[in-house]
Amino acid sequence: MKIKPIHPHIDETAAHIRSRTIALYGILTLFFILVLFVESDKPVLNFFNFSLLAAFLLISLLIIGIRKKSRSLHEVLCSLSRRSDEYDLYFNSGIDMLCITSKDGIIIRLNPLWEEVLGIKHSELEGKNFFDQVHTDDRENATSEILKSIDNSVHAFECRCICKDESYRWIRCRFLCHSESIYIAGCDITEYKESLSDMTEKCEFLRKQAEAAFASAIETRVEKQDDIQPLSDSSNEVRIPDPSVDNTVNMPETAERVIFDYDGLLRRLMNDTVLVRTILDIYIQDIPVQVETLKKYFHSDDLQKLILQAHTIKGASSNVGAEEIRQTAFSIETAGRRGDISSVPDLINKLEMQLRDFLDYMATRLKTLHQ
Amino acid sequence: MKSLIVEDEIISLTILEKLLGEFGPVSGAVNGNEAMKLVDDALASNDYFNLICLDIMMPEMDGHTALKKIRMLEEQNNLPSEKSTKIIMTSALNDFDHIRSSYANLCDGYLVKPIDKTRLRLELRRLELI
Repeated sequence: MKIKPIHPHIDETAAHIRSRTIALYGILTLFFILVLFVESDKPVLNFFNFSLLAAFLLISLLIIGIRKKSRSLHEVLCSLSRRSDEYDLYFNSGIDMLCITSKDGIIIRLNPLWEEVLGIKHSELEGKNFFDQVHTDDRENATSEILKSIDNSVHAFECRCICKDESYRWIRCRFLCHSESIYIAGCDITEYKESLSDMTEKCEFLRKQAEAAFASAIETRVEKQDDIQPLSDSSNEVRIPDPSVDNTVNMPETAERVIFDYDGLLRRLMNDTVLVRTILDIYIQDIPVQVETLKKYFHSDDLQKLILQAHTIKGASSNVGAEEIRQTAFSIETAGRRGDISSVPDLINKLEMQLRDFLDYMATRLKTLHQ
Repeated sequence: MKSLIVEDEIISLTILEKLLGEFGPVSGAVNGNEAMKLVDDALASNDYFNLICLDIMMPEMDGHTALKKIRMLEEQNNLPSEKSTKIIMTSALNDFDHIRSSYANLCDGYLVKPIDKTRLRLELRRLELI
């Protein structure tokens, strides 16, 4: 099995064995010297015997120690080999385009995905500068991102990388600068970029279409304001024949009038009848004042106040469900916005008539509501 | 939920006051100037409004101007984004330009009148106010 790196644990273990052996030798030498001087009778024989015994013990201990250490060394080497295999497997089979470069950008190692995406052989890329593969327009941004990055924190940039056929692929690169190397994990985002650009164009087109449609709808509504039919056909709405006031502002003879949409009001307020009664009471008291104010602004030629007042009547009537009054107020507001107030006197007459009808109707209806 | 209703029309004001009153104290203002004063006071006392319902067409200061000024005030007071007031435009104007410019001025929602309790509640839920 080929083991490329030398793990620092191996050196540590070897040094440990050496130091243990030297210590053992030292202890035994001291022991011999002690025996030599302490034993007075037949020192040579005693020394010889003890030396043999000591040598035997020393060799035994060394063999035991070496076996033990060689076993742990073997384990370390196996673990390193396994890690190296895992690293190779991870590097070569990842879904990201992995690349390790030197601090200067020289490519040290790449995984096969780069070849797959760019179409350039692995061997051709190794040893080249990574930034030479980046589109000239993106190079400055890519290098500046690398330069301003802080060690051990992940940063990112997007760039176009040159392919073998001189086309480009958009790559989003996350990178980390560590020690003397740059670790890059790239992802091919070309399709995403293309669809994003397509989507932006479509959004812009739709926005223009929507604007045109709104403008057209508003224009049509303004033009046809006098012909607007009542919107609701709820059974609780009150429909009475429309007395003729003026042909310019009158609804068609066949049309039915929606004075008050009680069902709609109840639905909007989630059947809160107390609130319904409260706002109807307020509306009945307030709306005649609002209409008088509208007339006053019209006679004082204050166009902005006239528009604002008509808008207020429209909003209040809309909230209450006084559909006829809302429509006429809207017509006055629109006429004011157009700057053509020739129809406003007739519309005000119509509004007053509708208000009278509404109040007459509500005088009887409120009795029922208050019960 | 502390709410402010900026509305010059009494029916809308009454309905909103009733509907929002279920969720906490409600204050009212009849134009943008009054609203600005209330928002300014609230920011000064660190007792921000959680919600502002803002009409667009109002006398003195309209809703668009008020919206811009409220966001500026929040920025000047370095109010963190999570504490910034949710602003719902409540208007009878339903044209694209008003809706677009409201969102451009950083409103959080847009409700077209007539006021509908269900729609209002859905909007409050969407904004995580209730």
